Amino acid sequence: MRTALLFLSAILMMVCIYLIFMWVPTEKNLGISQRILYFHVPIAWVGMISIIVVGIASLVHLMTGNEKWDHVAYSAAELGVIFATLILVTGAIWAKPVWGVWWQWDPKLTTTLILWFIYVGYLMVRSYAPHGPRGRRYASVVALIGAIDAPLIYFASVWWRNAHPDLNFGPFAESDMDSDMRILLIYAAITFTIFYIYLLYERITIRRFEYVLDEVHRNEVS
Amino acid sequence: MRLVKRRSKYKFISLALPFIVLFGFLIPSYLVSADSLGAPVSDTDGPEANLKNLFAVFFVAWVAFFGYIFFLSRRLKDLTHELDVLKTLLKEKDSHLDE
Repeated sequence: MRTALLFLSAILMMVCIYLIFMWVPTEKNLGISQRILYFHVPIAWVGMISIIVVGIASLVHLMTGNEKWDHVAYSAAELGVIFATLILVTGAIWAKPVWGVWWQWDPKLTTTLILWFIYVGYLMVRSYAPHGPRGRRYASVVALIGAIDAPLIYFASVWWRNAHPDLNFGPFAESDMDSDMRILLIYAAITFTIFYIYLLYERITIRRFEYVLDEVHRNEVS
Repeated sequence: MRLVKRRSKYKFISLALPFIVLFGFLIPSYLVSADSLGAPVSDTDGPEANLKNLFAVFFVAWVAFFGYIFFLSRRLKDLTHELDVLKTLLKEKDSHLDE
């Protein structure tokens, strides 16, 4: 399963890169830098999926007390930090040639920065909160509060019109994009989602392993 | 341990392929256009404008993915080692009990 996911995401990624550089037409106004879109938007998509995964897994963990869901939440939060960092970095690199500045206090950018802080906050709570069920519950509450940010990011460009472009991809998107560009954007989002599933699967396996060894050490000490 | 090593090797090879493809497309196209036009590529106009930004985005993303996969491989390796140590300790404990 794991190897299949890895090879599938590698093949899809290779095709994706080929399509980005050889197939999709260049946008008239933005030029070649518009091709950043096919990496930036899927990374943002996965970053948002991650906070939803963290939120749902934390909710189930709070309801059932099952550690399995806590492993999912922790692993998704760790991946979320990476993807949220990449959203901010790739966005800033793209903003410079298009807007002339690295950063603007645009609603979408600001809510994304808040998402990054939520992920970091979640991991900090996990590190500093008391070990055991109590610490896990504190972190789950943080994750649930953080999940509210996902719809805010998604609809930010609709609710508060500003520098960031409108929704091009996902539910409620009304895009006037070229059909080839839209197809590639959807393809890239699927590719990144599969890659994300692979990384999450790997991280959850390692997290379980860490948990068991941690419990062994704790029993040894006590 | 051997299985872990082999799996990490596969991971790196599989993830390196898209990176190689990316370089394969980006670098030759940049060199060919620069040679054939015989003029430096402008940062503000022309089809190659902002190529640096495009390259930077892909580079940063791949470095992050590789870095994370490397972190996971190292963590798995450390945990496997820890597990081996625990197994050895248990065996020693069992042999003491038998004696």
